Amino acid sequence: MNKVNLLLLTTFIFQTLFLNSVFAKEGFEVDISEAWISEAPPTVSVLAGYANIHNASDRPITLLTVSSPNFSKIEIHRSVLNGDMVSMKKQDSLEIPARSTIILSPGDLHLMLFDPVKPLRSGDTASLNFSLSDGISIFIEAKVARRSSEDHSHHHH
Amino acid sequence: MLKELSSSKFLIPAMAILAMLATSAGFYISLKQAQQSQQAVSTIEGLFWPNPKQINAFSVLDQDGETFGLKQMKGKWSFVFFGYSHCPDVCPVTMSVMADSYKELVDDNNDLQVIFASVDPNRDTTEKLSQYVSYFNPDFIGLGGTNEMINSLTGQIGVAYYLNNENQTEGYLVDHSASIFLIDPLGRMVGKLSPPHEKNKIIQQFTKIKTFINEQS
Repeated sequence: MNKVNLLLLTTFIFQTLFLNSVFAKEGFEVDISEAWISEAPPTVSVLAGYANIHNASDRPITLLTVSSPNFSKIEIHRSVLNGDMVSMKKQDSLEIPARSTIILSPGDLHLMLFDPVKPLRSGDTASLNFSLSDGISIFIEAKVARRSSEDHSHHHH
Repeated sequence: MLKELSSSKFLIPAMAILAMLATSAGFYISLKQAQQSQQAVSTIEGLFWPNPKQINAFSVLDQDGETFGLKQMKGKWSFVFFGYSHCPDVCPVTMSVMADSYKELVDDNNDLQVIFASVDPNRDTTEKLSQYVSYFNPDFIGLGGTNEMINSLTGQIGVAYYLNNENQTEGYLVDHSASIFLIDPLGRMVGKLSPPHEKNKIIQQFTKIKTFINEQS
């Protein structure tokens, strides 16, 4: 390989490494997908939100809080089945291990969304702001959808 | 020889042995019969048989503020689920599965009713209950009133519920049974369907239990 090509190759390698580190800082290492909010009866003041949170980095990342202009408060909960009794356990934070996906889904981990500022119907969207460790902040537009039997991806432990 | 036997010292012991043998044989036969009939029913998951619990008089208010009791259960097959409207996950999930199951069953079962009984009657007022259940299906029944009223039903079915505010979350949470109970037209608790709840599973279990119960009468 001649000197010019060698120089080009080296530049290319460093550029790739540089860009990767830039993107890593920007939070591309966390990806939130399939975010949705269940439609509920109009009188209900607490809704459930679900999503897949993927941590592509090689270190654990923690979901600290979720907020939204559409709700007065959002908490993270897990529905727990103990024998025949069900209860909800509030999670102060949610750790997502390196190179893993945490799935929030019906009957399991979910977002508890308090006091919608207006009733949400299937087809509406709501903005959710996920605040994670390392200053990572991700804004998502979650779609409101009516529950159906097919949503029950079976995470029951 | 018989004459000798009847006056011999062996008579009473012989009779005693015969009696014991007869009793043992009889006991063994009835045990086998019981086992067989048990085997026949134990393949139906969730069925309470024999001796299903008879529900006695109770009084709550329905979603129209009318009194609801045992009289409204008799003559119908009732699915009963205990939950509350401030529960955003398990309760709506279950109600949604019940709605899908009901839609498939109702055409062939015109004596079927689905009941949502609130374990949080303080916040689940008549008005709220009405809007809550009718969202899932306009035929659904919502029960509430006071804690005392709800206890007249939960106590009989054997359902536990309790307030939980260890999370110090806004408002309070209620821990409760996640099972769906099946009451037959005689007002007997004949089934308990365990979570996780799925439409096909509910339809299958209901059909099996109803067929079995109808065969018994």
